Amino acid sequence: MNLRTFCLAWAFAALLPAQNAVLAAHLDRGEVSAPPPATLLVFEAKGSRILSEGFAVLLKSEALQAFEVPSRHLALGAGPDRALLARHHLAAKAQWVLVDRRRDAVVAGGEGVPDPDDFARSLLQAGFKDRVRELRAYLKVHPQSLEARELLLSLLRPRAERAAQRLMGVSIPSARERLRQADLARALPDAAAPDADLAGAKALDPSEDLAAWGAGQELDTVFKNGQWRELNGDWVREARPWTRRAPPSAWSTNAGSPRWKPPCARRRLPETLLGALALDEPGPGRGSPAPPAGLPPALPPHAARGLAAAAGGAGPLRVGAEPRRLASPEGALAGPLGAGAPPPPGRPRRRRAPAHRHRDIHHALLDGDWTSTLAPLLECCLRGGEAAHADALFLEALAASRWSELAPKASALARRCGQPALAARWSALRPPATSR
Amino acid sequence: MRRLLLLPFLLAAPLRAQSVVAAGDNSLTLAQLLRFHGEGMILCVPGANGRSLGQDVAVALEQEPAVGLLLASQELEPGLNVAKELARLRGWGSDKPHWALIGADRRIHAEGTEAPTSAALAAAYRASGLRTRADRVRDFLQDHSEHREALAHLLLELRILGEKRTERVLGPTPEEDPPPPSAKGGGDGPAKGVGDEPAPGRKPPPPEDGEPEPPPQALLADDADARIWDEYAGLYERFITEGHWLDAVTEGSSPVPLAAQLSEAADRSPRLRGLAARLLPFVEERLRGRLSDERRWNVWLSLRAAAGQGRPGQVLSGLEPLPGVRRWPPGAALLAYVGDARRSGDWREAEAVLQATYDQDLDFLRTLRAAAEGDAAGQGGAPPATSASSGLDGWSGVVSLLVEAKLRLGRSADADRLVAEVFARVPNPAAARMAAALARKCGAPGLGDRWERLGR
Repeated sequence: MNLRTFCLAWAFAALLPAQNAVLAAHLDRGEVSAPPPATLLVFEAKGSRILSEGFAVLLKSEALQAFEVPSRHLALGAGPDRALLARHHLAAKAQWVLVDRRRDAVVAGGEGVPDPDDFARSLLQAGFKDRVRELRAYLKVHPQSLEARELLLSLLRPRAERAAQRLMGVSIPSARERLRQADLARALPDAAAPDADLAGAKALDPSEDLAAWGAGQELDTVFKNGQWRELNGDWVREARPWTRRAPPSAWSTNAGSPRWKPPCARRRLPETLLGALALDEPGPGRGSPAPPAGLPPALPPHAARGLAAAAGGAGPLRVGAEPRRLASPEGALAGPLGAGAPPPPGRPRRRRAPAHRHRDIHHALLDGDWTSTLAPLLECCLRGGEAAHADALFLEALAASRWSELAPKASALARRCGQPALAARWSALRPPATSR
Repeated sequence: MRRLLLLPFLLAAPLRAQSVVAAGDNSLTLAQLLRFHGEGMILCVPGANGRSLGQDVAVALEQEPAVGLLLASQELEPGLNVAKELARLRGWGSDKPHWALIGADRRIHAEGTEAPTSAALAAAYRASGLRTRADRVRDFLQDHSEHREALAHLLLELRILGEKRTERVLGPTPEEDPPPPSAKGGGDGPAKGVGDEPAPGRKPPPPEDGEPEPPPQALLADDADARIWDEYAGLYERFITEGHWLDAVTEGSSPVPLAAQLSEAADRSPRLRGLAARLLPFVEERLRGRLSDERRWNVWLSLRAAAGQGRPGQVLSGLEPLPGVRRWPPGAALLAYVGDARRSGDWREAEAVLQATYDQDLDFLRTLRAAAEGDAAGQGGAPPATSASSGLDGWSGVVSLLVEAKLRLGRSADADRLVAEVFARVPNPAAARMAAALARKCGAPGLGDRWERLGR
């Protein structure tokens, strides 16, 4: 089944409840769109792969990242090629042609692999759209459009990832590609990236990193003007699981890393981008339990890191994290911070499973609070140069906590943030009444 | 006589608010019942003769000064375990009906065997040391002034209270009649021979190029307005201008989206009307940033209803569809057009955008069909079966609204053609019944009968 037939079948099968809001959103965003305007046909002598492989490289090139070109590769003399050659009045030789679907006519062609820029021009002339270019143009006229910015970022992220992979010398299939290969287990969002994917990955230097993530200018704007809160997109909440296993040189959010300091001092770009793109942390609901109900949405830790790094302080983070921390319904972490600070009135503390009866649940909840609230807050302070404040926060939490893992986790965090002295001190502390 | 006429309304509100824990809830304990009522609540248990105080208590709670407590009351059937548990706390006999003001800790602060007055309830509550929900949120906000959900909770509390008090001063808001068909806008009138003349007595359409005329509405006097709405107005303005309502992602249970909508009673308050007019440009600016956000449109609609100005078309003016987007305006804007039309009775703008959306849907479907047929032809296969409805070509939400718009505008012949066209594509008897019901709702019983026959 080709793309168009698939679209139609999908429309017939899935659009039956046409009022479905989610579906309507997909339709509105053009995700179920008209078929591509042209198809690439590649004819080659039987057994030869020269043109096919050349096009495989070509279509992944920088100039052609914006396009998804459907292609058919046909061996000369195999049968199906004859009808197509005759239909388009082509000689039986190794060649490529771009066939306009609507007019069923050849609009471009050649014998060798074309120049990327020339081929991009051919695609644009054939009716392909470069949505990134279109969206950038749109945003110049309508800079207030959050939807355009979201769409743009959602397009830039995979581009940046592809570029980074190219520079790293690795090729990690996307979820869609894995599904296509029926590698279902690895396509699941929580699946850890196999080490094999990253074997031999090259460590990037700062200039290469910037080259890969140059698209982050858009995100930088978004974070600096505070629009991030209003933006809806996976890019701000979801991690690519495999990136957690990638070499730290390329993916780390460690703003304290010496290798980041020069570019950060100039532009503050990489940490903002990398932090926001959630490259080393599972989002809420992934590895950690969902945040307790009735509280403000937890600021995703990875976004918190991005903010901390971008703002060089804890201000923006606290807007999201502090109230949540103070209102946390769990005794262990809320207690300290919230003796006298109950959850919002009218919103009962729902999760009060006694630790002695539901120890696992209790630990999971504590871990969730740590991940979604206290850890980003501490990290924000540590990275923002407020170690004393972080220390006070930690001690406050520890004083009322019964959670044995709090100190080790905080200690590890302090170490990651370049505070070994604090880490050593925290690791030696224990809650007054440690749960077993 | 007028007071007697109001009596059912006065009784109806408390009756709606009051609920009875009935059979089937016998596993419920008092602690569970009180769990979500940190502010306390009033519980009533009828006596052996069936006499209950619940209704009287509920009425007292709707009157000043107890209305300010926004306290819930609940009547418990005497046979239930929870009622027995309550009776045991104070050794109540079963002969008389009882009421009790009880805290979440099961402590009874006041009780009686006769219905209390509103003043007595308020005094008992003051003496109890309990804190109302609104006061508890205020306390909380003193320490956490940026807590978005707490702000939203307080707004909702103040809004409910303001609406109750407004209703007490001005009487209940008149129920809006369903929007009438309108003969304006170049409609070709009702279909001949089907008996669909517009019903008499319908309100005239608004002027051709003017704003829709708000229905005459009794307004609060300045002192009452200030007393009832001042705190709400200040907090609402802060909530909107500080952007607490703009987060892209909120929890499903978050009170923020609802709190961001201005009270429906705002059009009875000069203070809130002025506030709405002041906030409208700000909200419109934020709305233009995310036109597909239904929540933002809802905020805009609530302000627009109070301010009596602004149209969806003005919000969209000067904007272009996002590149690659198939439908314009976005679905959320479409709903705003319809909401606006329902409120104002003027369906001209809504009809035009609904028609455009319907045409866009059909174009899209045609494109997909042509592509699939092209594929099939290119591969020498049979064209794909297209007998199943995609939902876009049959009776859908858009078609339903478009038919309604045409009927409301008096374009019965157009509506009839549209229904016939859709039914010819997808002959679905259920759709014919829905169309018939819609026609009757819009005052076109003749068309209703005709469309019903399509499905037989």
